[in-house]
Amino acid sequence: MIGAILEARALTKRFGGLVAVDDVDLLVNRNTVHSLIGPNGAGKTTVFNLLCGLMASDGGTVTFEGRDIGVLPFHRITLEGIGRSFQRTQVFPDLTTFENVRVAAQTRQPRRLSPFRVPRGSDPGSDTAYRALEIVGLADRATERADILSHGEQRALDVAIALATQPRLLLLDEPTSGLSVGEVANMTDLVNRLRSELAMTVLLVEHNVNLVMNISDVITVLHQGRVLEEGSPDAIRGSRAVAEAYLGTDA
Amino acid sequence: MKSGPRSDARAPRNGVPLEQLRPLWSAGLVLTLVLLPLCLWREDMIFELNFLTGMLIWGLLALSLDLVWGYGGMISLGQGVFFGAGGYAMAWFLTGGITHRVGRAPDPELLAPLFGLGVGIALAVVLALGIAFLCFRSRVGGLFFAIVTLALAVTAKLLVITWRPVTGGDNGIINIPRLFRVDPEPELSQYFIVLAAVLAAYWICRRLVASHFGRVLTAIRENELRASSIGFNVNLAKTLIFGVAAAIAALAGALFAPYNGNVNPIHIGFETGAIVLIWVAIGGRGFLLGAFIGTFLVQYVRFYMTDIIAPFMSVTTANSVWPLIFGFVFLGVILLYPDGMMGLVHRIGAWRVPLPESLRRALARANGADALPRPRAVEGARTPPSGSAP
Ligand SMILES: Nc1ncnc2c1ncn2[C@@H]1O[C@H](COP(=O)(O)OP(=O)(O)O)[C@@H](O)[C@H]1O
Ligand SMILES: [Mg+2]
Repeated sequence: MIGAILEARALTKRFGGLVAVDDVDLLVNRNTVHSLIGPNGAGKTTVFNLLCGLMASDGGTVTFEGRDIGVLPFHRITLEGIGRSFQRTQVFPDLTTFENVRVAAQTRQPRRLSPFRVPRGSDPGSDTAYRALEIVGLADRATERADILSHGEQRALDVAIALATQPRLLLLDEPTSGLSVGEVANMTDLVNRLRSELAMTVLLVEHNVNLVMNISDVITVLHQGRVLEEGSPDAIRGSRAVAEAYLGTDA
Repeated sequence: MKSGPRSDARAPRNGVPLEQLRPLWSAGLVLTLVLLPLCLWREDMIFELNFLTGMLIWGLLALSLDLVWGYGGMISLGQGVFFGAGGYAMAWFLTGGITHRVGRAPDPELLAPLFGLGVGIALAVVLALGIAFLCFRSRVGGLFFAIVTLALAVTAKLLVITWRPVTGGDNGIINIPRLFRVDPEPELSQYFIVLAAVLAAYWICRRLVASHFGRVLTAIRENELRASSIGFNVNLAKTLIFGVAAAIAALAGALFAPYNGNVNPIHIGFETGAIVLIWVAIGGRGFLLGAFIGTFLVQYVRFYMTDIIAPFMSVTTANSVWPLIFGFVFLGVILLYPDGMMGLVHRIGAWRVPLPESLRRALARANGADALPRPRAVEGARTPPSGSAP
């Protein structure tokens, strides 16, 4: 661990009278899997939305690799090196699986918005895209339309789209929701490989407690918009406060 | 399952999908459009020729909407405004607007059309960029954008009716002379001017939607949230394509004014903007060619409908029954065939025809070897890079 890649201070978000995120500090270290857990409505997705600029915060700062990114618009965050997947699958349904990731990789290509440049199979972006599909195990589905993929495959494609933008930090919002047991194992394996083989940092929102305990380096527990506890999986497992507020409700 | 070698081995037996003959049928279509009027030209065919010219012009307007709706994912009811801007500007210059008001006459044969086209396009583009900028800055999107363009169309029509000295008020501008009149066949020369403009615009649009910019637009149409989350400025891209489309609509209007001989407030109002929406929906949005197919089909059927149903009822009844039939067909198509006529075209395009090996190779080269046949995703289809082959 060589220091923090992402640092959020005093993040706050209100929806009318509801304080969805309440003075949250978050420090994510480079090349770790950091999980954000908490019961439904705890504010996990909202934290993601604040980190990547999809929502304007009502207070607090976000620093990524030493740069203040709290002021950047949503679409600029990707270029800074943060990719994200969504709790509700977000893909391009009418396009081929390959074009889904190719257009994402295009964001790092020269003249990425040029009306004169036509993408080719030999572009570096096409290689990046194809590798992203290989990493998540969708390479043999490259020529299929995205909307005929199974739910599990679409969840994987959502992650592949984020990967194709070549992020250094990946925000994954419940990547295993609705997956079969076998698919959950694949996703677990994928997250592990992202850290070990691709030297990525992963900030993970996850409901599957076993999975979280297995793959996380650090776990932050959110409850009603506040940080309830933070620590290693063992520390979280031993925490009384967490057991009462969160694990207790599950049991 | 669909690895390269195996599908190659199967191809000679099952043949090549018709869709891959695209270079052939595009060339054929262009040749037909060029040669047919030349070969079949007779004096008494002026009506048919002018009908075709008109279809090309209206198709161009539909093309502009297809860029906005089929690629940018925005519903615009205001394409008539940009069409009208081109039409009125062209009409004003062709009827000697400068001569009458400023006293200096540009050579009407050459300069007037250029001025008309230039001013019309500039007007339309500035208006479109301004509207889009204001809409997207205040986060107006979706249905609300459609309403704003509707308001624009209503306002533009009122403005044109009120501003009589320039626009001729309710009557519009009449007696507009032909473009670059070449005797003795002015209809024929007009047809070729329009055809050249349409082919050029179509080619530009084809290139545009295949480009990096076009791919981003397609992504925006498919999923705006995802498109911006992979790093693209959605509002900028939508604003730009709205501007490009306005320029094409203005070009259509500038061709229409001398073709029709007059322009009036109907052409600039939302009546025009709404009917184009129907053409594009029936042709199939997001294919470019569908815009022309839809326009042609609807106008053709509408024109000859009276003949078809005349034996069963009087002409007046037929005229009032027509919109009803039309409405039901429109609803049916929208609900049952979201890809419109192009869905059918692509289904036919998937039929396989046997071809000799040499021709198949040539086609593969012409197609860039990576044009995969599949509906809707044609622009997005692309084989994985060669490094991945086993
Ligand atoms: N766009 C929104 N508008 C209003 N309330 C919201 C919005 N997004 C989230 N909330 C509320 O904020 C709280 C936290 O939601 P969320 O961050 O989605 O929780 P989690 O992802 O932890 O399940 C919930 O009570 C939710 O209803
Ligand atoms: Mg959530």
